[in-house]
Amino acid sequence: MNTIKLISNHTSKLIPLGLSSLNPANTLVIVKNAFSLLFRQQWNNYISKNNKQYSELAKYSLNWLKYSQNTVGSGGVGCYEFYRWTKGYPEVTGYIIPTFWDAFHLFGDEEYKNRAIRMADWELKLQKPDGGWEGFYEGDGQPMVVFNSGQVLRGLIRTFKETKEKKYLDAAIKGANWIVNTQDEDGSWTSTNFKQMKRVYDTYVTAPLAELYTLTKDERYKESCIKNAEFVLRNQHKNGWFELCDNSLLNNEAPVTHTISYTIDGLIETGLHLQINKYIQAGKLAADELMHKAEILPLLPARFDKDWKKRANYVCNTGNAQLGIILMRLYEITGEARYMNTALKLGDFLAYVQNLNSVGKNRAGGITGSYPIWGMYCPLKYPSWASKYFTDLVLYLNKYAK
Amino acid sequence: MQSKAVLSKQIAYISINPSGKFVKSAQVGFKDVGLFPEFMIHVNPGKRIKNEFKKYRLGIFSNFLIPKFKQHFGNKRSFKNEIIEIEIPITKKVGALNSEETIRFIKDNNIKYLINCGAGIFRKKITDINGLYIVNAHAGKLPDYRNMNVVEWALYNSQKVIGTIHLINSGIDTGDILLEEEIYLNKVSDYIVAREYAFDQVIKIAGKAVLDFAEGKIKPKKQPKEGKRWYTMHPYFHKKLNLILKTRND
Repeated sequence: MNTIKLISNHTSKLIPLGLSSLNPANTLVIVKNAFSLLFRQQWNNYISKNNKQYSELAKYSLNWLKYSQNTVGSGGVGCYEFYRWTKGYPEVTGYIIPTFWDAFHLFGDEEYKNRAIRMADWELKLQKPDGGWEGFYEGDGQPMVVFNSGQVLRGLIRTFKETKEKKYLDAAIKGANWIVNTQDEDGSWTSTNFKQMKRVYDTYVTAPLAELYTLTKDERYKESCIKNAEFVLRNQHKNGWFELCDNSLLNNEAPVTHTISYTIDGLIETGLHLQINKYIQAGKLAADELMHKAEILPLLPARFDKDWKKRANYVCNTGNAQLGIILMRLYEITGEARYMNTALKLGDFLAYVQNLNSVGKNRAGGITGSYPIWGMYCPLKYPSWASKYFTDLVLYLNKYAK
Repeated sequence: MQSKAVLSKQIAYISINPSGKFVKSAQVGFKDVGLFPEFMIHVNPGKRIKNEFKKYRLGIFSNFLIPKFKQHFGNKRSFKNEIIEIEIPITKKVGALNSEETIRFIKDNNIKYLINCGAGIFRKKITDINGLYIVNAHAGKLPDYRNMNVVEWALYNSQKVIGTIHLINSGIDTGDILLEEEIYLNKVSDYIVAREYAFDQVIKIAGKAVLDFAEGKIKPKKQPKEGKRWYTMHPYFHKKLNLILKTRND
């Protein structure tokens, strides 16, 4: 029922999407996905079986992000939607910036650095007088959104750390002040968030806020993070599952792994910055459950209900990559090999998906929203955030599993 | 105390491969303590294959059937000196593990001990049969090494490999412990050999565990709920483990 509602909310896209499927390259991608479903588990040990290197996979993915930045033209990074390239996405470009800085340090290629700076400068131009950033794509006419603004903070803080240029820090502080000032009494954000939804994945906002606290020592940031984390903990079940965790009005009873992972990652990162162990443990509790699912099921489904029962028959590729990153972080914290073990398998799956869908220059190296490509998470789309998290995951694996 | 002949009539092996090495090794252990289980419940592998097909689709050949075939016929290194033929008087073939047919056979024949030699996952309707003890051999210390590839993980973590005979309940590797014994793998330099050897050794002590339990010499020890679950080891760690094992033996 929710799926039908979801489709009916996007009717304007149905005709161009349907027509775009007739494009030979798009048709080929769809056919390849259909065949892939007949030969399951071809992704087992995919990277090693095909003599691929993590660094090579990262570069391939980064090339797609570079191509996106070039095509969009403004400095921001957009998505490929089978029939068009979108405009730049301020939120996503914000968290892509640290990925390019990481790539610059690993590969020593100045181009990554220059592109990161170009993205950060684009963000500066888009900042609203109140301090926040608009939702969705550039120029869509959306109001400022706390979640999206929080992600821009990530890029600005990192660019400040790398360049020491005060303009990035000043913009980050201005954004952070707006975020803190619009927080609700209970620690959540409602009026200034997407569709005015009260959601727990704003921990992914408090993480950069906590990082900013470590730079500025402004206690308001720390207090805001704690207030939000406590709100999230009040909405966490004993089995680690979160209430109010989906980025839609319809699917809160079974949130998508993308937003579950935002919540977990945000809790752990906030806990690390503020040195509050209970937030790390709360994130770990949910991560352990998802890890278990990733291990026992042939594929990690996109959605889970309050008993961690699967509620989707497709994979959210972004959620997979984000979970892999979380598990690698837990591997670093705990030293337990089983975290890395599962992250390696998620990396294999995503590398397989990258290869499967790399047809033609618009798609080469990109990661699709879902597996199979027509799954209900960003169907027939190559979201820039999927490539961002995949790149981060393979860069992480490259560090430990060369 | 009942005689061993009477006890033997209360024991059944259950397996999808009744002529496989796991059953043979179990038989060696039972013979050593003077027990000769009366029954074999042969579970038809069809349902297992069907489940695997759902998982792998056409990839079932490369991901399941061929590796299983290789495993069954290819590696007999740890068993070459112990091929035995002990007759099991009554064999019953059942269509599925958790079927009414299996339950009826267990009840009709007053089977008290069911020795799991690779039958699959037991559902509640079997584990809840009154007076039935399902015995499992697990090559890892419980509750620290639950689930899969526990021999490899224990070796990777530089810990002792402990074989555990435990009762099966509705969870995975969570039932009461009957017997634990260290498995010595000092000279092994390959993880596949280590795993096969360890499982071979642990199933061999199932006979002793059942006899001692039936005679009241051991009391089942409850496991704490909390434990660690381990999963299929990624080939990256297999390679690393083999290096560790080789270095250790050099």
